[in-house]
Amino acid sequence: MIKTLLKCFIVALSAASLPLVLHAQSLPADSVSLKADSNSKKLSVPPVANKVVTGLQNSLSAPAKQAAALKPAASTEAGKVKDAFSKSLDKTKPGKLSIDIGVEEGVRYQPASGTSPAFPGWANVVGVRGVVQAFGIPLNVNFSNDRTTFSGLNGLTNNLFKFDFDPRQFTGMFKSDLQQYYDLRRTAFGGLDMAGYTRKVLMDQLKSEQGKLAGSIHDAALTKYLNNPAEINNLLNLNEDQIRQKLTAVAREEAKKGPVKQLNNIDQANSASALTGLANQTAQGELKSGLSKEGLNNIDPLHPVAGLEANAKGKLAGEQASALKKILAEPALQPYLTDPAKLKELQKLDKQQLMQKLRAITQKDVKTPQNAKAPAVVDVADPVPDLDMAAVVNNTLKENDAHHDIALQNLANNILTSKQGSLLTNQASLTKNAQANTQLPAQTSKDIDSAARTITRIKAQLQNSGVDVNKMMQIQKMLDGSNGALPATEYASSIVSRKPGSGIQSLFSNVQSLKIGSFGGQVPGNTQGQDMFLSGTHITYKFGTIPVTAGYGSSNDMNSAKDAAYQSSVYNSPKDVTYLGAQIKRGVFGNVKLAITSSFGTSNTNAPYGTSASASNNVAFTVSKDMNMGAIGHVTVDVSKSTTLYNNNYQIGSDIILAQKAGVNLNTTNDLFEAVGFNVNQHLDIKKLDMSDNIYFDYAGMGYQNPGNNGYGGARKKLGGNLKKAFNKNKLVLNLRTDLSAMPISYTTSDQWRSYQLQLDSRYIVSKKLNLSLKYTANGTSKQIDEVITPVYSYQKLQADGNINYKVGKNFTVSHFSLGYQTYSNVVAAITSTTGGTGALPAADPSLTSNLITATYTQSTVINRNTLTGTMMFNKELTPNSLIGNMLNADVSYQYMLFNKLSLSSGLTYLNNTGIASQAGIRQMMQLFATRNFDMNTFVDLRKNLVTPQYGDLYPAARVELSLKYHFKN
Amino acid sequence: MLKRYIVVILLLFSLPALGQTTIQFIPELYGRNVDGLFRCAIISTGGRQSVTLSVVVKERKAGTVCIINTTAFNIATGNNVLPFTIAHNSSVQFANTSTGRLVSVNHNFPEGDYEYCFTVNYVNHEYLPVEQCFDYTLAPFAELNLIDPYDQDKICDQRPLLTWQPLIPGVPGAMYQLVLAEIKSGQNPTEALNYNLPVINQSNILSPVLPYPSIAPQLEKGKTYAWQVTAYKDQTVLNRTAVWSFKVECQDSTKKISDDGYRDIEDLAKGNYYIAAGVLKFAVVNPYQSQDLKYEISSLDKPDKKVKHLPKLKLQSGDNKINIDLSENNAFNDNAYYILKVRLPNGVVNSLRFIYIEPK
Repeated sequence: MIKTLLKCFIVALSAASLPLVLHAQSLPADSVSLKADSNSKKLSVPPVANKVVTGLQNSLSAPAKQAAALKPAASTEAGKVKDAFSKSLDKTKPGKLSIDIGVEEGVRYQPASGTSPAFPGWANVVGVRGVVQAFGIPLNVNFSNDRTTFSGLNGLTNNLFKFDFDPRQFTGMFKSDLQQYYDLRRTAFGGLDMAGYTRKVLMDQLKSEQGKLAGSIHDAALTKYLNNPAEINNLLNLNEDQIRQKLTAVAREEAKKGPVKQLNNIDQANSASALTGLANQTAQGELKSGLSKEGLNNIDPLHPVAGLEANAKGKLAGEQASALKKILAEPALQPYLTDPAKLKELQKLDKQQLMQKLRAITQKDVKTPQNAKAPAVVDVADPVPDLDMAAVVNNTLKENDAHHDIALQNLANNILTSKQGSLLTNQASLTKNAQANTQLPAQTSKDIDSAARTITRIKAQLQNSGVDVNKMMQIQKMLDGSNGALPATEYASSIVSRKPGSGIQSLFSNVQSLKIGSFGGQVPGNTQGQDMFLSGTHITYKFGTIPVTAGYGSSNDMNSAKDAAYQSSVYNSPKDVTYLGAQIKRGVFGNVKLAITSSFGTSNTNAPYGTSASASNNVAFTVSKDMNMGAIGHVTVDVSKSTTLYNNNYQIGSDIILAQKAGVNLNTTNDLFEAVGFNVNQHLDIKKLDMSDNIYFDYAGMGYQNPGNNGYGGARKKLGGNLKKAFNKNKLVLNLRTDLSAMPISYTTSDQWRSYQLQLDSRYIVSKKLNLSLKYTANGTSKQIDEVITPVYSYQKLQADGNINYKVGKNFTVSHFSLGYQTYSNVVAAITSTTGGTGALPAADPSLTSNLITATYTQSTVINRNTLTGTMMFNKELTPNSLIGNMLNADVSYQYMLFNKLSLSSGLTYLNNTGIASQAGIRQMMQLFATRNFDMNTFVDLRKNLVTPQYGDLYPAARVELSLKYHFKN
Repeated sequence: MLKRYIVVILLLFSLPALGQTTIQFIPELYGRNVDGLFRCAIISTGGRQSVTLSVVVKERKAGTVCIINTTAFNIATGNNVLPFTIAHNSSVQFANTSTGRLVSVNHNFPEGDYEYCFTVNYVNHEYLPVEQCFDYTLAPFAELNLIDPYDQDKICDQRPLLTWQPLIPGVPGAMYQLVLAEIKSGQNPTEALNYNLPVINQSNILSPVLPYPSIAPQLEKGKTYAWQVTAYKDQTVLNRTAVWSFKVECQDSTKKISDDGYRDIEDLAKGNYYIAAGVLKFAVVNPYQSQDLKYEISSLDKPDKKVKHLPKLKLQSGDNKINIDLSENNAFNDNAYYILKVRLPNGVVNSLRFIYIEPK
């Protein structure tokens, strides 16, 4: 016994390790592809373009040559920010491969005497179940080994496997623009809005630079400007050069204001020392040194500002000056500047035209390599892999060169102001002009430069990770403008509508269902309402507004472990099913579904379970219309017509063919009602009355055969429904369900099986502590032969249930009781048992009537954190015929925790089925939550037979279960 | 005398043919539809032979229903099951009667008195054909239905009595198999039965009822289970029920109030409206001895009328988390405003306005 158990465990473990190994092998492959994937996304800038961009970034800092010492530190800092930022941006991206899968190994050992070899005592099912999400597409995965494990055969082909796509899960992953923005704010912006985040980064950067370069101070005005969220918002809408110009303008404006204020207060008598004091105050190293070395001496006491400015800005203006020099040295420009006639022509133009002209003249200059280093517009859309960035830079950047532009502007101003025709070709004068306009402290211009770069970089990174920055800005603006709530505009509603996040997601957004493998589901056009179990593919794809369902699959009545004992079936024969369906929601037809389903009988040649079916092709065409009838509720009407086609071997009698040739069409499939099925379904929900109902009526003619139905089709008439009504705030709920059916069994007479089923269920919540339910079930079948109805079988049951909770001392206790009375009679057609199966069985009374009382009582009490549960089940037969027999089944168990990881339950069991079996035993359960990824369940129930049981299979003496679950999640 | 010799000689000639082949067919199982006719077996003693098989099905009232002629196939000594592909290649002809036509569409034989005659014809030998006929009074099976627990029902019993309709009409020796499996996430009931290790997979059941097996672990609360019953005989499935499901769920009796969201009554009293979803939750510090909590609730519409039958609560010494269960008191209306007055142990009276929401 123990040996067998051990064997079981070993087999279980070895079997369990197999999928593990498989998984371990497959996982790294996945993760490698994942890494490659995310890498490629991060580096979505193509190598060539990337070089250019880095080059540009380097060259951006080139104009501020003074900052050479500062640059490495700043860029490292920026790099750090970039890394953290990119990482958090990655989190918001869809398209990662994520796995959430459980591998389960369930082993059961339940030996029983007298068991036929077809139902062996042990079962082992290895299952894999979970969700794999790749490229933003969630797929349910399920795998299970097959019955072959039971019969000891190795048949990989029989394993069950399915991929299943759930659109509900999927659309849950869609994000609206607004949500995406909020996600960004949460994950990438640290809770701030976009302007706030940019501001924070800028401020951090300025601070850290300040820390590294003690003694250099930042332009207070610039800092103030950059600290203003509204201004940042404006800056975010600009490109890099525009930002630079804007900031330069601001700084210049402030530079003009600031010193003037202070200088106006300067004591005229002691201007020099006052200025030195001012310079010390501002602590701008360069300004200070400039003043002390040369500036102070040159300052005109009457115009101290101009001189001060000129000196303070001297170095920076060098760039503009050199640009201007270059322009003036331009051979193409020389004739214009030297020839008065041509100059006059230029003067006739307005400023804008003049600028264009000058640009055109200086255009060809652009191809010099020096100019290629000029700043580029980085914040355009995602870099395009094939784009030659160098060319773009060469052609456009010249124009974007701020220095060049400013120099041109100065030149234009000069041309326009020199009305006398004597052009100020004096280089010094031009340079002076340029300097007057542009000179700013070096640190400020550096700050401007780094601010412009930072803002552009944030935008570029967002763009690169697929975020539409402009849209984000618009959303933020809209939110700001309306106190955090979106206005009721169409644009605003488009922002909150959910959209797929990637191309493949948007492809799948049209897929309403996808199943691959062995799956259960309703075949469109089926009239039975039951799931079929098919091995194949099923897809519903939305073409425009029309969802089209297509699928094929083979169906066989014996699929899995539970069918291990069977070799053939007269319930269902193997067939291949193909179907196509569409739902038209609009148009003249209203809500109409069309479906065509066909099946072809096949042979399952998988020995020893080979089954065969004759070759015939069965086709059904179903039209179904859904109507909203207002007060009547929803009504669905299905009409279906079926045909059976034959291949050459499978033919109707020759006389029919002769008759058909003679023009007499006797084909039964043309008989309207014999091969027709229809179905009416009505559903109504009246919330006001807390009531709902559902009524259906099915009809299928004698010749009707739907390939989408289980079992052999044929004639049916069915009528039924349910009615649900709640009273007193849902405290009392009544539910009535009925099904009536008639199944003709003769093609010539009206003989039929008639059956009914009824259940009236009432549930009453007396209080939070007590609830009661009363249930009445009636069921019966009768045979109608020659218009005489004979009851064959009937069943009635009345059952009362109660659930009460209270305290025993301090301990929370729950009791559940149920008391039932049932009558059963099988008048004519009882199963007359013969010898076989589980040994010698007593022949059941063919006209069996049995009355039975059933009672169950369960009580569980929570003692500290542990639970003590006792259960008792009792059946008493009131008639000599026994259906179950007098039976007492009792157990007591105590559930407790050990080491916080082990949940255990120990119990005692007792069973007595008078005259059939008597057993007493122990039961032990153990649940181990070892890690987050693994848990183990064991169940052992061992009994001692006090008498030798009559049906060993129903009353086994042992049951051992082991279930191992591994959970993988990334 | 000569006559006798002739008879003996003729018998000797015919014996090999008669003695070497018999046909096995179980009409109660396989006589129900056309496909079943191919599930006969030929027991041969005559070595390897090439044969064809023809089957004629006759009904007492309707006459001949169908005729099947198979292509040639080989049989060997012993029990020969027909090749699986034979059904596909055979010619099946239906009579031009209403029964014949309907069978051709439906493949099912209707009720009636049937005679199934099987004839084995030898292809390469001049043995006489072997014919064997079987009679059976056929009544198609009524639908096999599950009864209790009803489809998609919620039950509280963790060891329910499972009931279904018997197989009608009964077939001697037929038994039931019941399979019950947990429906796990991402599965529908049909998939659950096929993919999972069933909680119950019980065969050899004689009565159409099964008390939950004592040896199986009980069903777990909150889980949904799928079940199906199959009637079978030997290794042949005769009929199946539809797959039903039910959930084990005891109604709200053990629903616990979450142990969080307690705020000091004094803070609450300062605030605006409090929302009480069936229960009022607040925290009180009692520096004195344990005593009854003195409180009253009245509707904002009728401030003078106090709500009666409120639960009696005790204040322990120290911190107290107070739950006042309002859902069982019929005086509270959904979305109505009330005011709670609590006299704290130190004599201070705090009032709290709240909106009552009926718990769903």
